[in-house]
Amino acid sequence: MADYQYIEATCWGKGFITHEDSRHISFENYAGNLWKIPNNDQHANRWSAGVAGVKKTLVEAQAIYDADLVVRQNAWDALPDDAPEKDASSSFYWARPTGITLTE
Amino acid sequence: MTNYLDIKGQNVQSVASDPSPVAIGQVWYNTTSNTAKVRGFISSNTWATGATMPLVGPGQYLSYASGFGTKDAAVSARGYSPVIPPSTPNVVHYDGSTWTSHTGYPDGGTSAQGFGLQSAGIVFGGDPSPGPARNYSYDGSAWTSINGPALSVYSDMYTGGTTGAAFKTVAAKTSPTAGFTEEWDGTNWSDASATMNTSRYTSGGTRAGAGDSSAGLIAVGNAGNGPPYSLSTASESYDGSSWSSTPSASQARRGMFMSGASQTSGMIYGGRLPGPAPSIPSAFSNGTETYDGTSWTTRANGPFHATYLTGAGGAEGATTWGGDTEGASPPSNYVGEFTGVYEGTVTIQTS
Repeated sequence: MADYQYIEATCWGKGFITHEDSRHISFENYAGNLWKIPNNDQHANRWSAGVAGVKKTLVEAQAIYDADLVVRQNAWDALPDDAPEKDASSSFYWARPTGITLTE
Repeated sequence: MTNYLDIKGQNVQSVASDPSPVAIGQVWYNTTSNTAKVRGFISSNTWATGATMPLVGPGQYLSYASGFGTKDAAVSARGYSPVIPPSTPNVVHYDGSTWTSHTGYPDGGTSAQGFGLQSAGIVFGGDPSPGPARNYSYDGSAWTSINGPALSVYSDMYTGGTTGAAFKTVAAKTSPTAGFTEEWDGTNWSDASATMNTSRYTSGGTRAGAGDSSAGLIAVGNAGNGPPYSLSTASESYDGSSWSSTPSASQARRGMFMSGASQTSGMIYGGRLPGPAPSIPSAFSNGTETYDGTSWTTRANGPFHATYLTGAGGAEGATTWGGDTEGASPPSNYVGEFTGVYEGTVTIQTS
């Protein structure tokens, strides 16, 4: 049985995650407004309902993550060659984004 | 049932309303609420999301901004964004609920160091290095030019202190200035003639360092006199004359937020982790550690992974904002609020 679940929810700011939520739930935020939270956990389930989150299967979550990754990679590719983000000697240098395999 | 008079030798004061001020350890009985109360320390060590920051959001990010102040009275000044014009004031205050725009920082640039309070803060240095003088004090509404430090390496430092009191700064990026320490006396900077045990630089940290020149604390960062550098977990404190190694933190990182009140009260959050490939979460930390003068303790992870972020406050409570994930996730205007161990009043439970 999976230890974690993925929820798609957009953070609106104050009150999206409260200190009380944080006391009971471990949060991991991923690209695509994905939140990895404990599975089979009442606190986590209540939080998800409270933020109008939509539960995603692992496959669906991976697809959301991958789609966002393509956007990130395209954004990097579209940067001018002389952009600070592409200058390895710059403090603002970024490598081209790479993805990961999500796990539950 | 235990009688308080028997065990403490004192009667408990009965009052209609909670007394003010109260001292740590003070016990009283509130006859209105019919509750016994005690003043003590409350250990929370949790995160919550704060009000979204107006300077960042979809399509834009803000990194290397200068943060200072407290959790609920914070200032963000300047910073780097590819889509925010340099002429944008980029100075906002946070009161714990709302961000408001204020008088713009007089110069451009990034990675300037910030410390002090919202009504008595200092921002100095920053890239490009050495660049023009960018040293200012701030009274909450206006910026005033001040003297800058002697060292020409103006970024990647560890700082801490208050506007009028002494202050330390360390620039460790290049030899022979590795581990170099300067102090601020409210008017001028001077060579402290002290060198860190582990020379290091923050690599993008603009609010990195706890305490002041008589009780300072630094930790983690890029260590060595490289390149190449290596991420460090080393921690050390400063007593006004020399640096002493202290127990190491758990997570090696750079570009983190570090702050705190003294050498016995510090926190670290976020930062860049080892590895060249930018992906979430493997390359960016959402880890939190606090220091109590004896050891670093891993606390609850923050809600967001980010590096080159900034913030205000310390181990008792902090607000963090800005930063990025080197393009690995969409730019965000997320704000994190940390509540650590703080003084508070609790109701004594009978069961």
